[in-house]
Amino acid sequence: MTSRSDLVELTPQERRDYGFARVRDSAFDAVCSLWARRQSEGMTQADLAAAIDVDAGWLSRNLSGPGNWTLRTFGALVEGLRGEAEISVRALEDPLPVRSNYHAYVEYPIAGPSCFLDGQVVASLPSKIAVAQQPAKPMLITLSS
Amino acid sequence: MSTQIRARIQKLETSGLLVRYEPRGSRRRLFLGPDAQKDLADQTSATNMLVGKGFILAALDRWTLGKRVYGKTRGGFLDRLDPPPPDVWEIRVTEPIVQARLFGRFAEADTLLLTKFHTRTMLGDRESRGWNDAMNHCDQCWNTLFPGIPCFTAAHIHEYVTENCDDFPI
Repeated sequence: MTSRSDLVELTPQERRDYGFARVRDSAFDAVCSLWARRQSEGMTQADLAAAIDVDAGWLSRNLSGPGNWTLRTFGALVEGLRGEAEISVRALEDPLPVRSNYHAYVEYPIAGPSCFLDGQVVASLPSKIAVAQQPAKPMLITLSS
Repeated sequence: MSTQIRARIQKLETSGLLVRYEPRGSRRRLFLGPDAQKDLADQTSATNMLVGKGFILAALDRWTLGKRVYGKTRGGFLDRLDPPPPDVWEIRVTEPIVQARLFGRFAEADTLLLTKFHTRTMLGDRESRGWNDAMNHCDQCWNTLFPGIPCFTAAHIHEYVTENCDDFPI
């Protein structure tokens, strides 16, 4: 088996879906982090619902998952949690924010034909999905209280 | 145990039966079995056509990049299904229109092996025949790929996902 980059080739529509899902998930993670902190400080769902005047069912659904989130949902929750959103987008070619020696597959050696990593052929790998051509979008959404 | 399963994975990768999914900056390990490879690569697979490869890849990236994994109580990204068969896990892709369920098992902590992608609608209700067939298919795939080698089992999700796992109540 040769490089498997075909597995992750995306059409423009798929790229839009992928970008949307990654951004939305980052927003959800950021809100959940602050929500966990507020809970530990004593805030309840009822408090949060009252703060932004939303239905308890709506709030519960949106804290359970971001499936129907819009930017309006995100903004409302950030405000209700007394947070401040800071959104940054970095270029794919830029270094990762935190470089470490960690390598997830270090104890899983493989050998074979080519594959890509960080846009370069780095090893002979028969069975590795080469995702460097469609790397994970770098994105960071943080909330500060 | 680890040595045995890693050696087997290496052999399966060399033969092409397993493919590792490794975006830049991976923090967790993910391998795809033959059916899952096909589900991801084939533009006409049910999950690619009805759910969308972009959403599937976003879910795979959430896992491999070490992003937060939500247990059953919040977000429900990763969930262990009720046996039998035991220790079948699903990654849930919960888009508004058509959802997907990516079935698999753990080879080790933080090492997930996906066997097959399903659309939620095709699975039907929990405990339906569709669910049972899909879970049994996962079990059969594991037994074919790893004959005589049990999957990783533990009591709590935090033993399967050692970092950035949120299973606290909403």
